[in-house]
Amino acid sequence: MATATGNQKLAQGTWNKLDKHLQTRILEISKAKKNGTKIIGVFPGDWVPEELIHAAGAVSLGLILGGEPDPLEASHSVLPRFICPFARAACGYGLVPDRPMYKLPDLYVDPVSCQSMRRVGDIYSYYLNANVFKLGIPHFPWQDDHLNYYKGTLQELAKTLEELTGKPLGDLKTSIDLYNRIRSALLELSQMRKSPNPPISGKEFIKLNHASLIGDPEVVAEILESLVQELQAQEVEGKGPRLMITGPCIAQGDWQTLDLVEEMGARIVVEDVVEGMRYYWRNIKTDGDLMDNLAKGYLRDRRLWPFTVGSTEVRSENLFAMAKEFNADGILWYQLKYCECYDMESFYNAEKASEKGVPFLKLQSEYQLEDRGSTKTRIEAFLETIGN
Amino acid sequence: MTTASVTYESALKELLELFAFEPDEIETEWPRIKKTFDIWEITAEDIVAAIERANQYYDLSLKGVRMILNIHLRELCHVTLAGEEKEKRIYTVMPCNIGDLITAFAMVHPNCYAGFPDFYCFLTLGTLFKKTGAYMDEAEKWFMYPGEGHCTCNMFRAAALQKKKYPKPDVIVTYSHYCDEAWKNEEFLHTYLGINYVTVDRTQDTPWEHGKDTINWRNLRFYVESMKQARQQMEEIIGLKITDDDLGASLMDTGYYAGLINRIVELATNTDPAPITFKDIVPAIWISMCGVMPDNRPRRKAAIETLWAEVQERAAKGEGPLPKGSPRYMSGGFAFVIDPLIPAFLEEQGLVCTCAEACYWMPNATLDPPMLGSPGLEPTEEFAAGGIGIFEMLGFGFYLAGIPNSLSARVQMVDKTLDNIQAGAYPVDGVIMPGHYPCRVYGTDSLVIKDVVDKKGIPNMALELDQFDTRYYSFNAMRTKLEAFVELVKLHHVTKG
Repeated sequence: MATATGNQKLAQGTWNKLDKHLQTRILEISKAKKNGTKIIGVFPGDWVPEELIHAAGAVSLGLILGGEPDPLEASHSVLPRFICPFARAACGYGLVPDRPMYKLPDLYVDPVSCQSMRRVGDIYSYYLNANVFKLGIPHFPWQDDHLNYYKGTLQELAKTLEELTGKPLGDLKTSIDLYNRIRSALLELSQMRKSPNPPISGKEFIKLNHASLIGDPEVVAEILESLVQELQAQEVEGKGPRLMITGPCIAQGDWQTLDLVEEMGARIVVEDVVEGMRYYWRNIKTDGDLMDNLAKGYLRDRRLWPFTVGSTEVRSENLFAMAKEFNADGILWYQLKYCECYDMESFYNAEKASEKGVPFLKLQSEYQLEDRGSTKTRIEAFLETIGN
Repeated sequence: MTTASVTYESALKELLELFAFEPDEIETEWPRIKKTFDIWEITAEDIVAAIERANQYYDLSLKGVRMILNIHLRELCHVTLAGEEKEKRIYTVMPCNIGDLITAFAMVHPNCYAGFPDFYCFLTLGTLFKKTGAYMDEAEKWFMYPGEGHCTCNMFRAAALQKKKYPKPDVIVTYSHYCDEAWKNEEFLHTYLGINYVTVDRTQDTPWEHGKDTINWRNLRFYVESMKQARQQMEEIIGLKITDDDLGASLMDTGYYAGLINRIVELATNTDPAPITFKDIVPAIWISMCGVMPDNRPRRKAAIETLWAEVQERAAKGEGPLPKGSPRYMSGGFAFVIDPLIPAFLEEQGLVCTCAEACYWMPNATLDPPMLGSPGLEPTEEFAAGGIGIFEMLGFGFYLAGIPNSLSARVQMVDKTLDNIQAGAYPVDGVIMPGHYPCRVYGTDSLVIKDVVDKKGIPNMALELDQFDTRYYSFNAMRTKLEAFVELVKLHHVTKG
């Protein structure tokens, strides 16, 4: 059975360009820091408008690593086990010496979307004496008072950035335009996966999304737009089942499950995750009050996240609608252990999947390599079910 | 009393007498209590065991303690029978930061039950009767899978409602800003059982320091607005209203009660021998958080005044559960809920717990703003002049109750508490930190708090356990650790000079 990615990658030159950029990115950021540029570490969830950071003349660095057991273990010196492994890993990366990326930021922006992420900011603040800006996420995004609160917090963030960089915010519209280019390109690439033989695999797309959180936005925008041009109307033949993956987070480096799926000939055609990836399904308006537009875009004009009050049913409807839109044969629920809200939703969605006759598999991860064998067996059985 | 020789009636009578029910009250309350116990399937054997546990856990020579346990039992009856006794029912859940708002409805409207059912179930069915484990099993078969660290407080509620052990409320008031899971639980209860819920929101993005001048007013105002909206939604759902004055009266009443608790803690911390240990104050503390029905408001006032008088008398006579000069320790984190066996064991080993880390139990503290209703204080006009209205006080109250808004605030509180105590006449020789492992908010701070205590050179121990679920907990498994803690504390006491 042909693998989804094939042996000859389409647009190889552009992929190589991206790889080369990413290989030297951290070094580049270190040099920029030495030259006085401020580095802003952003914990993911797409709550933090990088546009503000860009307009401030600072560098936004997505802190999105995960999937490795060692940083997780390192975190247990400061945290009990019972928060999600992504949050623990984020703490661990800050503590271990061999991840300089996590030590670079002059300011860490920590969106308090859940208690686990709040704890990350706390640990950085207490143990690393880091400069942490906590960005509170209200839970009723459709309410104007909540939107106004969030907007107020973004204004405080903007002020903090100005104080840090020592200069006023630059042209915000230009920054919004740039990130809109990134989102638009990601959307076009993602939509290509609706075709029967997508020119881009699930893992490739996720890697591109991650790259957009770490890379230079100008370079990334250009690369993504090149890929859109090069991959349009292209196909990579594949016959395996088409899967949607959903869960709290797919971190950069958390490849075990994706690799297993693709090794067994299945294809991830769409994902719906809250953290670790950029939300690209909408752009930010550039007319009128830009801060207002950012607040609405980042809080309200997006798929609800599980910590939004009253979101389970709507999220479930969106999940199955997206699976249908992308012609997914089944749903893989990628549960990070101890993410309690997602775990509860898995019960609800498993029921719904059964009612709708949609194959559904829940896999749990705590970033442990020894899970590989059992995970592989379960995926194999799941794919056989779909095949039958 | 052995189970072989006991009848249900004699066992229950003994329990009620132990919990300070007067003879006429036993007669009056008997049908309700019996009915409640039947619903929860409490047998004669369970009651005999509960009596033994109560004697083991608590200093029942203090009538005030027994009067508090009396209230726990009454509140269990209130919630269990609220379906047939009351037309309207409002429940709240952890962390119960607007308990006074909820219970104000019951204060004003006799046809309304309002309270925090889960906690009263834990304090009675859990602590004394050990009957809560089965409900955790049921929740795990439903939407709270095992092994994911779901909060057992939420699990109990889901199962108890599903099994109709206590009646469905008209509305549950929950919180989306403190515990990620609580409101999600309510959403599922709405989906599967049709229970309405309203949510109080805030964002935990700012530390609230201890003082009016350091409050983040934007955050507080957001919180206040959320509480007001919750009040309005409750009123719409249940068709009953309360005024700001009603809320004020509820707060003042609780403030008076909590203020006396604070004085008891201060006395224990600053007297040797300590006239009372903290484990005997904890049952009173939970009442201040959970709220009580109107008939129990005068009872709780009487109970705390009795307890205050008793400990003052003991202090004057130089009496206490442990001899003068006994080593002391502070209890950090969650106070023991379902298993006071741990502090009881430590007391048996000669250690006296005089205080906890949390704010209003924090001895020698000057509270700013002062606690509403504190004895001798008439704060309403003063607060209004300072721009602090009744809803702001409600918001503060949560913080004053010792559940901080951020880790940095908690670190400061622990730091300040320990500095206060260590500078006093009777410093502590150890700190024990019982966690609640599924609590992402509070339980995940444990190693940081341990670090704070370590830096002060005070022997300490973090205990990871579930405060509401003893299915997987074994005291004997903890015993070795506790014995080591005892040795450390005693050594520190002897060598500190």
